[in-house]
Amino acid sequence: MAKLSKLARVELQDGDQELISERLEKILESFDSLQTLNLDGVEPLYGLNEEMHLRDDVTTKPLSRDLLMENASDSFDGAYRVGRVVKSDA
Amino acid sequence: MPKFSKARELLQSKSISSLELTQESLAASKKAHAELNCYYEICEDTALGEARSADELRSRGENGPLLGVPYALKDLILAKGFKCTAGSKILENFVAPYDAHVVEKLQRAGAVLVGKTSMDEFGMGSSNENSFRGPVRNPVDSSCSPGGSSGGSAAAVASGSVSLALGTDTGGSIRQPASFCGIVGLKPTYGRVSRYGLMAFASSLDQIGPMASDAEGCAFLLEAFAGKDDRDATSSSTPSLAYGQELLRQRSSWSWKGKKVALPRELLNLSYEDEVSKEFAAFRDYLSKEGAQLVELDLPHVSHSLATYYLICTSEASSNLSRYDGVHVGKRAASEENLSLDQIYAKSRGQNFGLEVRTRILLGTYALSSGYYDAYYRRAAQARRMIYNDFKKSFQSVDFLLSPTSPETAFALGSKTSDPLKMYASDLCTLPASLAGVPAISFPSSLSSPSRPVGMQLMAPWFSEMSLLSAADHYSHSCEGASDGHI
Repeated sequence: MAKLSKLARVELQDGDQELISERLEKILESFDSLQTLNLDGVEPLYGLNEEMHLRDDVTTKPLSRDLLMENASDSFDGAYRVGRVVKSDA
Repeated sequence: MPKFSKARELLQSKSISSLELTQESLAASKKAHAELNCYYEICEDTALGEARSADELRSRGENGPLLGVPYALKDLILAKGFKCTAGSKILENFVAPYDAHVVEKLQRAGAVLVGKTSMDEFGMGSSNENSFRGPVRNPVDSSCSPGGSSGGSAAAVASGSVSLALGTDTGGSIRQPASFCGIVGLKPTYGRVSRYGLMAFASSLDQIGPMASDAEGCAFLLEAFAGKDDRDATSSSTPSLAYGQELLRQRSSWSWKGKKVALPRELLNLSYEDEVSKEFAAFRDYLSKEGAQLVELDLPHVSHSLATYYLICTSEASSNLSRYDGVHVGKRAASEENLSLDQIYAKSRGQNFGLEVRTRILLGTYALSSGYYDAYYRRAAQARRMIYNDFKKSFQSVDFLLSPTSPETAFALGSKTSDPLKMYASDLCTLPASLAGVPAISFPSSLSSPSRPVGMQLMAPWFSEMSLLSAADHYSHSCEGASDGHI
């Protein structure tokens, strides 16, 4: 659970860890039947869309950066602000 | 509030103005919200403005079927300038920076946005109990769930506050609430409707669809917003139809005579609530009397739908929801200390996603992780191919597949929240169509006078929405005791 929580970037409180772990175990157990299916040579179906259509290579008007950044929790001068991520020499 | 067909008639004949109808709708929406908790936001000022514009356009000769008609929008679909929360605390302050494709189309058609409806968080749920603002109640029985995840939209229509609403369907989230609330709901073919401006849950399954008091409402809604959109690479170039106009044209001549309807054995063998079984039997009798040919057939891999669906949708969701990180979008965790970037992500998401969302993200993360990808996600995608092939084969010989929409009627609030598998079982009949991408409709059937709404589900070949809408419309007109046009 700790590894999953880290991979998913979802912090779990103690109570939750046990509850979610139990749920996941129960759910995955019920999916055992899938392991018994003979799927040799079957091509996976990942998406139902038709062949990808590329649009014409012309410049279109993008959405405004300022408008999109209005939903940022902390922004400064057109950038998203977070704590220091680079080690300082000092 | 009149049903859509009646509202359209009244508006087009100028017997009522859009302003009057919208005022009625707004009052009814406030009442519905107070009793059922079905709205997150009622857009009063803009709705009145849109209604006045619609009346102005009508006075200048415009008379489209949706002009001036009030509708509700599930809060997973962006409407510029309004909050769009996806039913989640993490987006409680998020304001939509642009309109979804479907909203643009409805604006052009002159429809009036009355409110944003409540939903299960990020579309994950079958009861509308996973909303960050509390559960929605079923208008038919307020101790019961309206279904989910489009429970707010279903309740808004069923309560009579609007005759039209938009929902989204990933595994049954339009059809099952439509069934529980006694209204009509359609999941279009995958790719029929643009997902531009729809917050993604599972990108290979999600579809926006119409929910309405009648099939005619669903048809005119679909006509307005279906079709190719370059901004959604998965939207289909198969031409869309004038579903509403065609429905009216076909109404007097459409018949069940000669139509072949198959009952998939894997769905027949499920355990159904008594009232659902009884109504299903009555509906089959009705079909036979109307001249349809009923057959049983096998969709052999459909019995693996639950596992296939939940492995695929949670995997896709774990990727789609990674954008809600407390930095670019989403509520940031409050903290006294200076958090590292990873801590901002982990705490913001941990604190602001609900339990079901956290569970599904972790399940999806597990299914995609190194060492498990082949055994879970890839395997589920292979099983999906087999289910798709089952459907393809069946439609070589039949026109429709039929089942009840759900094994049960609306259940009591709180009765399934502690057992996720029990909750997931509510979608057993709807999941297969989602996996195959075929269109499916749920409409209320009351031949055996059930004590609460029972929905019948018809499925049809890819891009056959017209058949489904005509069939549902035909049923509502051919049944005795058809309503007087009011919800």
